[in-house]
Amino acid sequence: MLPGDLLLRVETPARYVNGEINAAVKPHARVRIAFCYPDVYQVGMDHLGTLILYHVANSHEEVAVERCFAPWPDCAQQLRHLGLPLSTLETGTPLRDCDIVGFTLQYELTYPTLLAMLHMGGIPVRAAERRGSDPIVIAGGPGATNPEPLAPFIDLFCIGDGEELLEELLARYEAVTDDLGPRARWGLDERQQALAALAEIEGVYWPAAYEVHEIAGQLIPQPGRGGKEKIVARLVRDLDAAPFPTSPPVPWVETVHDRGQLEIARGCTRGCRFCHAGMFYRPVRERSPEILARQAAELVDNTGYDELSLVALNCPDHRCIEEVIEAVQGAVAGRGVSLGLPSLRVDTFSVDLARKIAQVRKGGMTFAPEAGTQRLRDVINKNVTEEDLLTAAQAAFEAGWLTVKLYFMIGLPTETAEDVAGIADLIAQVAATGRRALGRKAGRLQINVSIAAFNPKPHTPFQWCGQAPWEYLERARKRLQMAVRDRAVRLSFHDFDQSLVEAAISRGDRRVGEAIEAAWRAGAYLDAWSEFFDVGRWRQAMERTGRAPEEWAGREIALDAPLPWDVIDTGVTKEFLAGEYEKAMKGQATPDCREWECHSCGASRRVPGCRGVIPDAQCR
Amino acid sequence: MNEAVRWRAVITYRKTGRLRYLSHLDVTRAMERALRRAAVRVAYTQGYNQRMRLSFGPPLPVGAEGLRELCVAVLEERTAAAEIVERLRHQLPQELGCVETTVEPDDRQSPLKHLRWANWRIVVVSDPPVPPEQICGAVGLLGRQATGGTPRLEGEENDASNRILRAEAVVNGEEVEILATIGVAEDNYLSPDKLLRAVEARLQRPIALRWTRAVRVGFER
Ligand code: SF4
Repeated sequence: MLPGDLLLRVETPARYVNGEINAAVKPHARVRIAFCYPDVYQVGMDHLGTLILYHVANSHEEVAVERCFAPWPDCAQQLRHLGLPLSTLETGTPLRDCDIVGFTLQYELTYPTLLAMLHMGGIPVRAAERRGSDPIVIAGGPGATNPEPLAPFIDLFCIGDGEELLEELLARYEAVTDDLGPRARWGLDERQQALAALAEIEGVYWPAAYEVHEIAGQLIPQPGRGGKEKIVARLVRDLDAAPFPTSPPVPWVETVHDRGQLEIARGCTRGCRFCHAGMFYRPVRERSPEILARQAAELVDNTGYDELSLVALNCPDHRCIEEVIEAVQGAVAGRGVSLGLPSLRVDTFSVDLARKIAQVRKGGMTFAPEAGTQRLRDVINKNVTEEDLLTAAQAAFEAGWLTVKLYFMIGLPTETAEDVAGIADLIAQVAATGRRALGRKAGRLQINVSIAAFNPKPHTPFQWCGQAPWEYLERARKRLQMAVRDRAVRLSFHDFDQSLVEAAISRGDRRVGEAIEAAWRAGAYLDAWSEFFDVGRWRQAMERTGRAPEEWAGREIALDAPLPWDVIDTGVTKEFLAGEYEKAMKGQATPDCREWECHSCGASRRVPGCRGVIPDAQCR
Repeated sequence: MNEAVRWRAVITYRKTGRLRYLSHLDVTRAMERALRRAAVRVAYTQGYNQRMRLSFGPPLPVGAEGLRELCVAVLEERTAAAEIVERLRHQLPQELGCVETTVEPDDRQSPLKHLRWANWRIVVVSDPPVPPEQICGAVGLLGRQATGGTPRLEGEENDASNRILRAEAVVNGEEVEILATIGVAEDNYLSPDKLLRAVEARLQRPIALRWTRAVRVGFER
């Protein structure tokens, strides 16, 4: 990192200084891995997946995993100016000198930053241009379920839950270096052998082992030598037995969330048809209250955090949520620690839970009805009724909340003007409920509404649907702004241009990789930050693909067409997704398989006798 | 002594080395977390959002070091100072380590009250470079102790002089080191940056000074 006096010239220098409590510094490890987060420290340090894998790999004595984040532009410029490579935090090792450099793919707009980090770290950006001795570049996370846009740059993708996969990867890497000698002395042949050996691990995709063929206007990867027919995503079955970081590095600077995290469950089977996580992470895996209580106590002992956040896609869905809360509260009692439940359902049970844990009320109670009419909520399979929302909102106001946050999407498949008007109606009804419930305090009512463009994601029932055109979204925005005139309501809209590029990348094939590289070369960096995002730059970059971003994002794909991401088997079958798509078009809902019956989503191929949740024993 | 009297720990700590880049808020958070890890029984505020009862001395700028910074923690129960020192030793890195701790009744006046002056050692460089003696000369004209013949300055710079108790500069090889006692109270606060602006104003040439090292050595009342 930067020499001392130069840190005086960059913003928030403390994010570059390392030495946090619990950071693992192993200068003499045999294998050195950089875990890179393609965004700044304050964002990346909150990423639980990275913290989990940091813990898994660092529990091997011989292995050092070190963190690396994207430097803020002022710091990146200093590095360039001084000719210094981007390095890891823990030991200041340049990325080019690490054995493995891993990235997590959380958000498509971070992809140019990933390329920038490789470049700043002294690693050739294109996989094909790497020398034998260059680090092996891997990537995982939800974005890896459509690896094709990054295929030209990544040596190996790791698909699915990382805990066990990483263990196997480390063991295989050590075996490979026993055979082939240390990486720094590898030639191209040794590198190929190493990649082939690592690609044998279940869940690992080696894009260079696939040839792409254009079918129905899309480049579809087909296995060549060393390529597997399907890459089956990894699944950690037993969360209680899975490793969990109870002494993660404690950041010196304030991060976005800045609190301890306890993962109480992974996955969701509610089946919202737009939701990538709800399809990718199946079935649900729950941690037991006893384990969580122990982890909570350790987390506070080791970090000193004053807030613990219970993490799950949907916290109240944990079948023992009340026991979980009781056990965790008991474990940290008297230590000035508050609990947070960031993900809630739209129901009074959730409000009740939040009230019980005395969740700080200033932040507001969040509900995500997503669509304005029952018809459209059935299409997207958001099993929430207007009554659910209004009773939940009423319960929140009665419990003392003055602020409610609502999340909606526009541009959803089959959406009409009536559905958009329905959003305004629903907001008005929540406002009226609030005023009635708050009585004399009604003047302090606040409803913050966040509206995003629907983004079709691979491996969801809506993967075949196009994103609505910008003009449509703009019209809907104006209509909502006209319709919602209540002073207590604050409407905010996500940047539609950012959503457009996000969708174009997430539905792209290998050609989109050319555009990502062109955008990076033209200066795209930290594009998830609206102040740095430039849609004009992306339009120009996308010319390389022969298609405008609108064509990538907006194209409707035939149900029987092969998809660039078909090579990845997330666990849920394409037949199930297609069935869900067809039910959506008919406005039919699919209930949660945990409460209803199995819908044969495909998860039972890996979890025989699947009932939607592991373990499937009822709570005491 | 009255049983109801609370006790407090006056923790003197340093902020040095690479941790000098922490902001004041970063330090307060780090100290609170260290106390919680160390299981020192600090009292909490009442109410919905309970906070540890901690107060800190005047903020130290990002990048500046401090050798005797102050944190006062109201205790839930009387705890031996040595025990607090020992527990914190395992929870704070050397660069943010505890220098000493005393435990005293909380009904006395807080040691943070009436801190008026801080002693600083500030290493400066100039752009463009000027002979160090000129900087020393300009520094000598600052502060309340500077005697007659000092040209009076207008506005802010003159105000700065009232916030400087003593200032002198010494040449150390290529470097100039300023030793200054400047205000830290609400009504006389002066940052090292503002001190340098005052020196620049005295130089009567367009010269930019910046500090490469700034150490707050301690406080005066
Ligand atoms: S296999 Fe059946 S029970 Fe299991 S997650 Fe899929 S739909 Fe639910």
